[in-house]
Amino acid sequence: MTLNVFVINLLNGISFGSVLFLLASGLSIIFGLMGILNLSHGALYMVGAYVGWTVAAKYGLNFGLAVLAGGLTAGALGLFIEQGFLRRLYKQLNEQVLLTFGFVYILTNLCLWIWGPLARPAFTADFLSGSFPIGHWSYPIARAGIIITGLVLAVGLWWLQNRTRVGAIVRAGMDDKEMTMGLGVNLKKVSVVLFFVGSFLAGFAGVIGAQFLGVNLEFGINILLLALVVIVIGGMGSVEGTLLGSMVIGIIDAFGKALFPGLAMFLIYFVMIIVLLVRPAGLLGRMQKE
Amino acid sequence: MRRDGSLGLIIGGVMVMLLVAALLVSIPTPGFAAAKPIKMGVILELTGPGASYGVPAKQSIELRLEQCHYEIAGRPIKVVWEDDQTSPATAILKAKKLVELDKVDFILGPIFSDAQDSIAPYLARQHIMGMAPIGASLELEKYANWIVFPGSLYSFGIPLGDYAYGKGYRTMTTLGADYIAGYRFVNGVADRFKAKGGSVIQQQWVPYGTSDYAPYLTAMKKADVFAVWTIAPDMLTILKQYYQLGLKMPILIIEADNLNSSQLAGIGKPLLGTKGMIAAYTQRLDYPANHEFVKELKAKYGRSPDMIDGCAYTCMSTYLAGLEATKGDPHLGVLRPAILKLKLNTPAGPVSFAPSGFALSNRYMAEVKLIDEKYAWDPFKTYTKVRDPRDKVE
Repeated sequence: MTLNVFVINLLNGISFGSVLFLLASGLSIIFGLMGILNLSHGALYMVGAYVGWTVAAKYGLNFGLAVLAGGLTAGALGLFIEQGFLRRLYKQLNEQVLLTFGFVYILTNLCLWIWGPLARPAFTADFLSGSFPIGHWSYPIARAGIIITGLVLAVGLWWLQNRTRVGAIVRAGMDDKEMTMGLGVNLKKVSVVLFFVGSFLAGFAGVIGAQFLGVNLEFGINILLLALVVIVIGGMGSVEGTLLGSMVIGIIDAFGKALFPGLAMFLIYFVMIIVLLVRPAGLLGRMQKE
Repeated sequence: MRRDGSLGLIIGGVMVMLLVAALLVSIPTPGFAAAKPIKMGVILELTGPGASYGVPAKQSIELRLEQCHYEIAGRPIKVVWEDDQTSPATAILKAKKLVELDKVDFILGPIFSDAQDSIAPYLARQHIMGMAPIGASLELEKYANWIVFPGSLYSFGIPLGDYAYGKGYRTMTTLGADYIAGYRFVNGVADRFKAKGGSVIQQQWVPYGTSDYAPYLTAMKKADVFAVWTIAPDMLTILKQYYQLGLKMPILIIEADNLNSSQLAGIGKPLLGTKGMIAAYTQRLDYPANHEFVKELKAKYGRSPDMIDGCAYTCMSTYLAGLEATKGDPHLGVLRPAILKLKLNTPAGPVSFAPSGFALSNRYMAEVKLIDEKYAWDPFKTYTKVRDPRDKVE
């Protein structure tokens, strides 16, 4: 492998990892604080991607507007699922899993009904559609933009979680829910807002990721699996852990496919198994007190 | 005559007439008993990764059936639709349901070759004819109960191997989906290219549904030409990322008709001039039957037909022509031999069948062009009656 190819694969891994981070961060926060395993998170990513495609590719509107529309649609859907269904299943993990998995099928069929069965090619903003040279290769500006977006969001979420009152409440709620409520914090309201934010991030990730992954009906399940692996490896409820997990997965995915294509799919799960054996809470996870 | 007596006569007369009419309607006539419906089962990928094939296929089959008013040789046709969710395991469950519960006479589909292979042994045991609308692996010929349009998957790319060598390419790298169709499509091209004297320096196999193809593209070795096949959603990702990475090798797309006009437009200018093998159908084929088909599909669905439409429509037309020839007899031992004797003029061109049941049909070399401001595959060379060289059934 030449140095140019190494650099390109590293950038491929980091850009893919950035998309996974955008997706998994919401899922991690929701599960960490609310104890809800929202398996429809991948489907929200898919809905966001389709909405973004409609705004930016079909109607040719501003890409920023597409990102916002994708995020808001996913956020609204997430809120609907939480308020209408999940709040009645507090602490019933099996029922939550079944319900949210059912929503994967519902949302996938809704997308099939609205947008049809054809996959949509990748789309991006005009100013991101070029490329820059790395040796005799070119590298798409859009993927570099995704890396920057992921980094900015990671810093933003870390600051929010560790340097603000809201973040302190969220961390306290993750550590000891009853004590936090006992101190007069309306954790239910915080949870609802966080669920919306987490779902928004899923839709946001869908539009951002569509710049090189395109849009298709398989995202509901495929991308969810990767997000779950990221959380297992990085740990629940921790921005740093989610970032670490997503970068590990992204880079292993990229180099695994390039160097060991026959083993690429297995490598990710192999790493997950090792982490589960050595550190069940994830590399940087927070364990919630029972 | 007293009024109440007249009224009684009238009422009595009406009742007698009603009784006679009821008797006449209830007595079966020979013609009425013979119009027993032909039951056709259709298994398609209506959900899952194959939905982009299954959903338009269903529309084209329905169009063909509507054209004949769901009737052939004086018998009505009843269709039972099933979705295999792009899963071979589900396909076999649906096949069993169609045969044992719905008692269908024959089955059209599924589209994906792994699902076809899963139901083939069962259909053979049940003596039910199967029909593959967009190719199948040659292994199905051993069951002697299949009709396959437009031919074996391996045969789709054979002329492309000829074309590549004829263009002066001497080394090739390939990328294919890691399942039976991928191996057949790609190896059809690779084997012919090698037989002509070329060298295949690398072959990569990637599971379909892969999110990011960039690592595979960066691992590609430099060759004279790059031949590629996977399912349509992944093909879009590959092509988009290929151009984003600034790769310059000429691309040959196997089963180019896999990508329709709107999908070509999504990739855009970099694709202009790209060559591919039309395995079965494109809307620009210049046959009278195709002009008619394009017009009717546009009128019904407001869109132009793609490969899946052309193949599914041709398949359904073949079934109907076979049933016409057997005067409505759908049984395997009667219908299949009748179909094997057919010579049809279809939207996809002239079609006949080898004794194995695999169609002898045309393949077309095509190039991506901008025609009337739309991206389209423009055929420029026709290969006639293409047959898999391994098909030795006589």
